[in-house]
Amino acid sequence: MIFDLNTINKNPFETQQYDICIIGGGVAGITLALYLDPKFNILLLEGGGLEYSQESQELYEGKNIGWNYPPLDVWRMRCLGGSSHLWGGWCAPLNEFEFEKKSYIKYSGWPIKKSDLDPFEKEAKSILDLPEKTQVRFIKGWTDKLETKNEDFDSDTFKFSFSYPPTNFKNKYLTKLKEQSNIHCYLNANLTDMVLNDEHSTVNKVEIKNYLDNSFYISAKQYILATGGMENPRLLLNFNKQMKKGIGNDNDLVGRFFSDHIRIPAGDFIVKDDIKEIFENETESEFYPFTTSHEVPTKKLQKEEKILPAAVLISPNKKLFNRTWSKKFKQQIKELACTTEWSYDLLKKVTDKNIICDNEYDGKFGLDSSHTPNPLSRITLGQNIDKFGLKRIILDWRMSETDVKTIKVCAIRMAERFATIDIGRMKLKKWYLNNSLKFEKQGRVLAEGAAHHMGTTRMGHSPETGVVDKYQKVFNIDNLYIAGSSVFVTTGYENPTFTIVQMTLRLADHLNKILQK
Amino acid sequence: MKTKRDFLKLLTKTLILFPFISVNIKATEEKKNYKLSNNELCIINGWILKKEDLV
Repeated sequence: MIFDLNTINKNPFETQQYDICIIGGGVAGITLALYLDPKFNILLLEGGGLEYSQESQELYEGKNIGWNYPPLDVWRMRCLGGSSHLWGGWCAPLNEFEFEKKSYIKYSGWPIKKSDLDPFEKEAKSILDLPEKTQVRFIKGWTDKLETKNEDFDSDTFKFSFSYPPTNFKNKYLTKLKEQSNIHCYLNANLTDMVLNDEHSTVNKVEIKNYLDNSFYISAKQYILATGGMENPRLLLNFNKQMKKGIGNDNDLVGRFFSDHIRIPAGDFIVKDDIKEIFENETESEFYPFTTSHEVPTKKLQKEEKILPAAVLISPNKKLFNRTWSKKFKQQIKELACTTEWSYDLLKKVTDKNIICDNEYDGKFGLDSSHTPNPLSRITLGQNIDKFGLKRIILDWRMSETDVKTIKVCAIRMAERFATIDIGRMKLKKWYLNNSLKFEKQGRVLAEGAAHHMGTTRMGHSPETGVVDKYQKVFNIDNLYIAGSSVFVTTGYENPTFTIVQMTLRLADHLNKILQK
Repeated sequence: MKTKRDFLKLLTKTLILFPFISVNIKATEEKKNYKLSNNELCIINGWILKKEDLV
């Protein structure tokens, strides 16, 4: 059942007993609510409404003092369905090697293994509308060529599926949430405080407010914070009336290890005529040319160079593909316009569109790289407060030497490989080959994040190494759990949504067992 | 004393050689910064090439 807290006259929670209170109605929150045993009374709190509203989205505003990052209220969505309103649909499970402790990567190593998440793979695929078998959207002839005599890179590890169009959790599950009587979903219900018992070992109740500033207190047996990789730490740090450092922050780990995938262009390439023929026989589709090839450094190369995994994205220009006559005609006009400045301006004026001139080469390549766990890359609280009196985020996204090395090694090795197997030649951007050009000055302007907010309430073996344990329970608090990518220990190169869903299903399974007792 | 013809010959030779000299300077600079894993490859102006490409 769905209710709007803004339009409620009487306190609806006075007479209600809830088994589980889930804070956050995004991918993790909705998945959890629907996969908990229906015999439990579940309260699902969503801070926004059914659609985007300025009043809700504004609460995400914050300040960035680190690397280039888009405004903090842009790359996430504060309404039912959360950031599933924005995502691109790329899905892949993390590989086995990602969970292992690596001697050359400090703070690596998960308390769980891939095999702990495997049992939930099938259901996660169903939730995200993925096919049973992995869709190979790459162009076979092209990936076969890249695979030849390949010791440095591996295409096999790149087993992506595509949720297309990307599953929107509000659209998909709204009816189910309305119909399921054991789930009470309240919209416009903002978490503003969490009250612990005197020993600080149990959450007794939480305070929520609507946008009319009416306040309500709610009690439940178990609480799950599922508000996203930036809000989870923000809320815990804000709740500092009883615990000075914030809830779950005895060891100063909440908000640290903020990670995002690093997206950075590497250069251009040309290909030989026989390769061009492969593309000429392929029709451009909604997936091409963006998914023509992803290559990942092998485990061997990662160990030898002491680097992290990164996907090298090789994207041929659209003009290489077999295109419709209208597209070919448009391409001809564009090429003509791009020859001189005045013709470019003329076409821009006539079409009122931003014309992007393809370069003279056959394509571009770049990287989607992992992010090294780094305690200095973090979210803290500023002095500015939001409508509910909660302090806003200060983000300090940082990269490390390992990140720079990963990016350089992967790009250069791929360029070497192109020449060695003689399928074409690659030209690297200046920064990659010149050590005197510091990343802080040169690479920094090229790199950007991918809106995958991870690591800020990381999973650990002990309270000294993590905020939550292997079951995503906050250390030293009996009934508080965290769901979502904020519990990730390392990022992998894979997009995080699939892993978020797998981990949430595992959490639902765990909570079902606990509450049965 | 060199004739006008000699001078033109020299100029032509210089002009022809100049791009190669320039390429070699760049190659030497780039080599200092990164060691390629394959001896048959070289770096010219950001391009990773096979040495045979230069012939």
